[in-house]
Amino acid sequence: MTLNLLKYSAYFVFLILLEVFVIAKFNIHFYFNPHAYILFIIMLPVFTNRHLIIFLGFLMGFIVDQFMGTGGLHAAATLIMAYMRKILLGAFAPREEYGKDDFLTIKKFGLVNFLFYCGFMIVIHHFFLFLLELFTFRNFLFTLLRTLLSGTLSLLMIMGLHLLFSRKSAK
Amino acid sequence: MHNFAEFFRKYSQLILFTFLLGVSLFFIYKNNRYQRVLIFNAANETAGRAYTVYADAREYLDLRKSNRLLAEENASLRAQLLADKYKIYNKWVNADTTYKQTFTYIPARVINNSVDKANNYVTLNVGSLHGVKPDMGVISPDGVVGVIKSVSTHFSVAISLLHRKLQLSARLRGSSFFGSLQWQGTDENTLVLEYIPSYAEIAVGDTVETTTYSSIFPEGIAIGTVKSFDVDADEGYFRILVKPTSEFRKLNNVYVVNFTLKEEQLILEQEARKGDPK
Repeated sequence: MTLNLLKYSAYFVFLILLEVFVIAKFNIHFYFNPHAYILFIIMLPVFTNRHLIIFLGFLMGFIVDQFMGTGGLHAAATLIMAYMRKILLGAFAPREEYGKDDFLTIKKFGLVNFLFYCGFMIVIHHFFLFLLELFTFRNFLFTLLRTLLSGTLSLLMIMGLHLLFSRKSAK
Repeated sequence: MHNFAEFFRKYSQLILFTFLLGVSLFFIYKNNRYQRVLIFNAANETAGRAYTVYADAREYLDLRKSNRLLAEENASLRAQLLADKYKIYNKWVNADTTYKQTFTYIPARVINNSVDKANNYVTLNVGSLHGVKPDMGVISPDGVVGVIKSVSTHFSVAISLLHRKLQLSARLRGSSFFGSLQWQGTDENTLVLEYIPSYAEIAVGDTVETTTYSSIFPEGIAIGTVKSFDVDADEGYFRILVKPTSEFRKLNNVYVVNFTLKEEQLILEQEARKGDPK
């Protein structure tokens, strides 16, 4: 239990540092705006207390906001994503085979289910992030396109990082 | 009372969610209204320190190029100082006229910067301790970068030219028509200059520069070059696409521009407007 707490705290800090000092510095293009820190919310154990997930989503986004100077933009987007997590897990996670502290692995999910789960989480996060960033419905198609293009890139990054983490935790 | 507790237990997740969403939307709203001074400045110091470490590390990689740019700029400044016009001009100046320095420059380093958001900001390593105040201009050796928005003791944050709400008065070099320059929020290489009358002479490659109307920048600092233009037939104005001369991806050494007579000008303008109906 304590070990898990330490492990997830380390992921939390690492993902925020990675987001703020590496990914945010890529500045690839306006349409390709990936964010990988949300992996933390995605990979929390299946039976984590939902209050805690909601709060952590808000906290993580808020910390990223403080670095980006974006007010509550990431906080709102990550919070909405964290709230939707239970619904998406219900749709894509296998119902059995999960213990209380289990790491959320691709193996147990099946690759397709896991991709769908990640994909939907990312799309929710990115969509609300970009919508609130422009703060208008006027360029709606433009926001959708930006969500899909950036989301694809985020999905690749998140899958890569998740593989790295699950290999580490298997040892 | 029992019912209330039951209700609270049943919907506690939704209540927590709604409450936190309210908090974040409040911060977004506050941020959008530019009344960001309180929250942003408090975090600015901490985030600023973290970014300084990052910029220190990155700077080593750019040292050679930065050196070359600074040397080039030094050379061009030196050329201006020794230029003949200065001496010739002197002959016509009465000995008892004193000149007041109207613009001073505070050298600064960019410690954080973005180009791919809808609203971009540049963080500098100078703050109120170094004399930086809100609404001062920021220029790079290549041209205009932005305008200072908020300042803490050791750091300041400028709105970049790549910010949808920054509007600058600009004109074509060598002509007196001025228009309004703004970013459209999509392409980092395109600004839009509007309200230049369609009978003005214009060619692709012309330089777009600052005017004195904003009382932020000295006159004639380059902003960008004309990429393309078309005429809005109904309104009789050009719509000009401008490529900024500053390389926003590679910003490193910049200057904060301090217009020393700004307060005098503002007070005078306010006084002149006093009698106007609101």
